[in-house]
Amino acid sequence: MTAAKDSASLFLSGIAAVTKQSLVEQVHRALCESLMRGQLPPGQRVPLRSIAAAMGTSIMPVRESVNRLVAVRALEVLPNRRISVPVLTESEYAEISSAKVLVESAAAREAAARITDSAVSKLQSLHEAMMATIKADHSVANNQKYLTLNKEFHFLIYAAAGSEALMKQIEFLWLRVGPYFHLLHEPNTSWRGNENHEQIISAIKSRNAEKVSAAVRSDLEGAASYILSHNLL
Amino acid sequence: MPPRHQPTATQHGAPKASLPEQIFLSVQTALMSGHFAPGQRLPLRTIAGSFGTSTMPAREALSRLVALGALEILPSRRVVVPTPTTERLQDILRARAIVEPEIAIQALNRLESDQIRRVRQSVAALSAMMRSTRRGKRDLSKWAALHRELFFEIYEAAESPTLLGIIKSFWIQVGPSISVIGARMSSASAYEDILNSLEAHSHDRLREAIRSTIEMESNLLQQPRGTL
Repeated sequence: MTAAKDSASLFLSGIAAVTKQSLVEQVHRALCESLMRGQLPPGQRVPLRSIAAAMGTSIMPVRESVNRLVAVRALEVLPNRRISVPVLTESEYAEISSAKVLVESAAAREAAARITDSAVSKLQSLHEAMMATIKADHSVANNQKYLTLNKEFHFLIYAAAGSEALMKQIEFLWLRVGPYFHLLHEPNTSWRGNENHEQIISAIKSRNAEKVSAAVRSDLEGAASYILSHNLL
Repeated sequence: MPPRHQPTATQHGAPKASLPEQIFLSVQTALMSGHFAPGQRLPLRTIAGSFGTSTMPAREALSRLVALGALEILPSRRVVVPTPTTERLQDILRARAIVEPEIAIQALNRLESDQIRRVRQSVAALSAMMRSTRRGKRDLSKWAALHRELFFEIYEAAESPTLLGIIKSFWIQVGPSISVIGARMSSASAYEDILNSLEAHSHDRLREAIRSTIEMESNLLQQPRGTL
């Protein structure tokens, strides 16, 4: 065996490792997004094989991603070894939500002075798209579209706080309570998130850190208490 | 260095934690207190051995720490303490500076007098250390333990397991580099400001004191080597 051949095979195994890693990352991103956007409701079974088939991959990257999600309690392993989206008790939901309120209103406070004008106009257009979505018919597709836009809206604000480590923790929080968010947008809902978003945008335009933090706080507290008070758990 | 066995989970009368949970909490505390250095290997067998268990619960505990970014698995499948870049450390300290003042404020209304007394003791010990020992001769692991106890005495009073978990996930990533901060710190005035704001029961001063202590840590970490 020549040295050249050695280095060639080393090179190729490097490539293989990279692709395998990025495949896991892609699968993981997709699963995380589904959870954060409320596409997998609490108690939903997460069948590894079907997910792998739907994503057109082998089961390995799905298993790897699921292991990571179990480690941060975004998924759980049932005694029969099946994977499912955790069902929270009322007090667990309330505890995680109040942590979420604190962390996100702190991130928003920090974002107020740092968010760019172009991010603010992006917030405005996300808000308009959400308004259009609730005017349209109530459908599962519309509900999911709303939740996708909503997640993008909130994360755009938090990203302006300028810490990736903080964003990762905010993601972990969304992974845990995101499965309940679809409840805010059932056909007979009285939840009016768009009015809150309007206030958040106007607070951001005033660049007043206290106001931005308070507006985000009231949006999140409102959503959490809507879910709790409507016995939706 | 194997982590010391500490019954962390049961100290507040919580139900006895499972074996993986106990190992997780011990390794977490060891990481936060700077017992492990960046790049240090954490062999599964050594961890399991120091707890007198099989490798299964140790594997479960370590994989949770990997998912939290506190440990990493090399392509050789070895588990090591990550060596963060300066940018990464600054990013984590920024997250700390954003979140920790708020949890401290939440804790302020619930802090009992014996908890404030323990904060006062930590601050006194830290002040004594800053005054008496030359920087080169400081017992940095003692410093790191006091430093951690001071902050967590406050944060635990917020009574939010989720928030505490988030803050610990920041500390376990900074922990392996923390001795640099202890070695470079020249005064305990930041700690004294925290204590004074607690005693004055002032939200605004507490927010400012926690934030500026973390910003000081951030500045100390950023100093290039050899400028002392």
